[in-house]
Amino acid sequence: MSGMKWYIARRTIWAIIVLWITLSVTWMLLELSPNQGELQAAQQAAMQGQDADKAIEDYKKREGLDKPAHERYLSYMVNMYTLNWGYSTEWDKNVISLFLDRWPFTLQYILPSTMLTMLVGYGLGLYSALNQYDRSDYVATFIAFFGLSIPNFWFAIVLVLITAVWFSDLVLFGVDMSMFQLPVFYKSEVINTSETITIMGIELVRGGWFTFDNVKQLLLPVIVISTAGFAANMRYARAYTLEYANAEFVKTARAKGANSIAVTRHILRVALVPLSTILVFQLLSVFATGTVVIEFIFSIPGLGQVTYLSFVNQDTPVILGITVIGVFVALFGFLLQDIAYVYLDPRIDYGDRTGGAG
Amino acid sequence: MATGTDPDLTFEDVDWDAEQEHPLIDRSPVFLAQVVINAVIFGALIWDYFILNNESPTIEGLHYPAIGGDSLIGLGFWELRRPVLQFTTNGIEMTTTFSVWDVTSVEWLLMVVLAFGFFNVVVPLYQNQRMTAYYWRQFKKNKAAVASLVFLIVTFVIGFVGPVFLPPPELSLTEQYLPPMGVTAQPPGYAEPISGTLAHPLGTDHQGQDMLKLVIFGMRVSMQVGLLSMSIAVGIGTLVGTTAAHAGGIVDEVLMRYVDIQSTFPVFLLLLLLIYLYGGSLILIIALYGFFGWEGIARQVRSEALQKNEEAYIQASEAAGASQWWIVRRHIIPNTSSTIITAATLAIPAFILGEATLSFLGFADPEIYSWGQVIAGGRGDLRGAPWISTVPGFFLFFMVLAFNYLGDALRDSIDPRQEQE
Repeated sequence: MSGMKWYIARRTIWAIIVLWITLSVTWMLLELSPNQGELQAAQQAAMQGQDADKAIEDYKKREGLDKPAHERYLSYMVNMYTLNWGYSTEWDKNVISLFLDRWPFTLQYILPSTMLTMLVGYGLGLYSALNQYDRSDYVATFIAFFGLSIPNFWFAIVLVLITAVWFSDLVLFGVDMSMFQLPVFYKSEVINTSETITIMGIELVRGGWFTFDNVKQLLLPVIVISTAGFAANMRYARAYTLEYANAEFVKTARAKGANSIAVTRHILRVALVPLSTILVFQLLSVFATGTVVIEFIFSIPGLGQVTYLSFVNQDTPVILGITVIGVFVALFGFLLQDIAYVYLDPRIDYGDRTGGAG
Repeated sequence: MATGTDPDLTFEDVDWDAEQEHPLIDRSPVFLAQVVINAVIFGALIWDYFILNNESPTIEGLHYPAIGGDSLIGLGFWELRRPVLQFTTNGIEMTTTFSVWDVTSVEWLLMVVLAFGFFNVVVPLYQNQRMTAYYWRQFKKNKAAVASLVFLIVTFVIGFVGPVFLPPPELSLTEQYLPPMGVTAQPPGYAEPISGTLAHPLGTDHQGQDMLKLVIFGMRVSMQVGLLSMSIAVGIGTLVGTTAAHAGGIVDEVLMRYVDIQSTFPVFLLLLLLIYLYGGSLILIIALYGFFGWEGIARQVRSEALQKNEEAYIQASEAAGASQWWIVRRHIIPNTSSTIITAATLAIPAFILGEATLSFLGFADPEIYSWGQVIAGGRGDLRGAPWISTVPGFFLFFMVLAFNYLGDALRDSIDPRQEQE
């Protein structure tokens, strides 16, 4: 067992080193780029008829940019590792408290879509592999290709067009579709309101995360972001299930009269090992782009929207912070994946490289 | 591998002395043609960048004097393309030239890639007709993949030939929000419903730009992004993957550790960061996707090459004194080509979607006709003019779908292990 502990410790140390390398690269990139604050200071001075050079000098002194590079690098690293991430001029807030305010808005649709992605993806993948070349296999494969190929931002727009615009005055088979109309833009009032209603003598708070209104306005984001993820999971699950569907141990289980649930369990236990290595990588790639796009379209005030706006408004401390969070989430995900791998596959060679998709 | 095209040639008949004198430098006509074509492209590139003024077009035409406002007439199709007028005033003498074709950096890169693809995919397929026929028989079984291939070839040709003949979409204040042909709608700013006409088969957008032209110009951008980024990513991924697998030891460790680090850094954030720092020109987006999108390919190629590395022909080659580079180039890369080609086909749709997403969010160059940008532009008019956002999306969706189907079918047809009867 000490081999495993040593393995996990080594992976953790490696994660810290990678974090340091990426932080250094980000610092170097920012060092090499023109400083927005400096330009603003010079512009402001020029407009007020003051000396632009002096304004730049003052700005540099104020921000500590007049110090030598190694001192700046050191203080940057200390600030980053002690979570002193600076102040956002755009939101007039500490970067950390900005992120603390916003992360629940992202998590509220990321968590359900992760579960949906895994359950539906693995379920359909297993089913279509066990019924290979069946009609249901072709249908499932087509759905997977549809999910893989549809651009998520366009899918979101088409869904908005159908559920918000067309449903408003559409009568389908005598049913007025306007009652299924979904909101286009996310309203955070739904969560913050403390208005109460009384139904059958019970007083209920209308506002909150787990309310019908909130679920209703998260329906489209969850569907859109789950589509791409579940399709990829289904393809992988199908491929790995096929690999083990005719393995000796599965044949033996079948010969002993195991029912389809038991057979599935046998296959899943082995197929989960390679699947787990792909899951993290694949979730990260879907969510990194997906959150920005989804929160941009549905105006959800989560981390994706903060990312988008920080780049549009060139709010450097926030950009830095979001990059660090992105790297940190990825590193943490890969670490969890490595640990899961050890538990799922007892045969693992601790010296071997495991990270990422194969 | 390189010789032995004669089917009647048996092992005993081979003139081994001649084979021994296999030249170190390939002097086959195909190779020479490749060298000449590349030299011409690079020569033209140098000529364009150093001899010609940066502002003047690569190919110039004479300007015909303006007749009644229609300034460029009677020059065949060339004047349709980017009629940039240039006035060089030398005292009273004034000459005007217009651009026939000002080759951009993206187009230079594309020429190199297309030449490379021609000599390394088309020519070998033509030379090994027996294998080509076999691959085709396998591939033909998958009807969806054949349809995808046809769709992609048509899209490719329209995307590259269309913009040569067509003038770019023009802004028009009188033709805003025209519905597509056969559709009757009441767009914003119109008092009563109007029907689409043949003049604008796919309608016009909120600025009066013809949707069909936007779609055709967008095809070109998507194809450029997909092909170029894929070439860069596959090139680096193949080199890193095969080198790591064959060299092993410390080289393998360093290369694959770097791959780990790169895959940790969220590519999308890195792209936004670099675009924020250096601006979102098309060539930068292509380069960024290419240079930061190869980790997956490198991993796949490495694991495939590790298996090939154990084969007897590698040991034979090593025993015969072949250099590492020779073994990688002549044995490992050709024998992992099925993995490489499949990874290449599946990388293209990812890059196309990535570029469309960036331009949808408004981070790309606004002067490039990208589908993502058109879709974003129609977002505010979903009720009155839904075709602006939906039409380009269909093309984007089908293009990505076709590449995905194609990649899947190629994997099945090239890789004999996958053959399940």
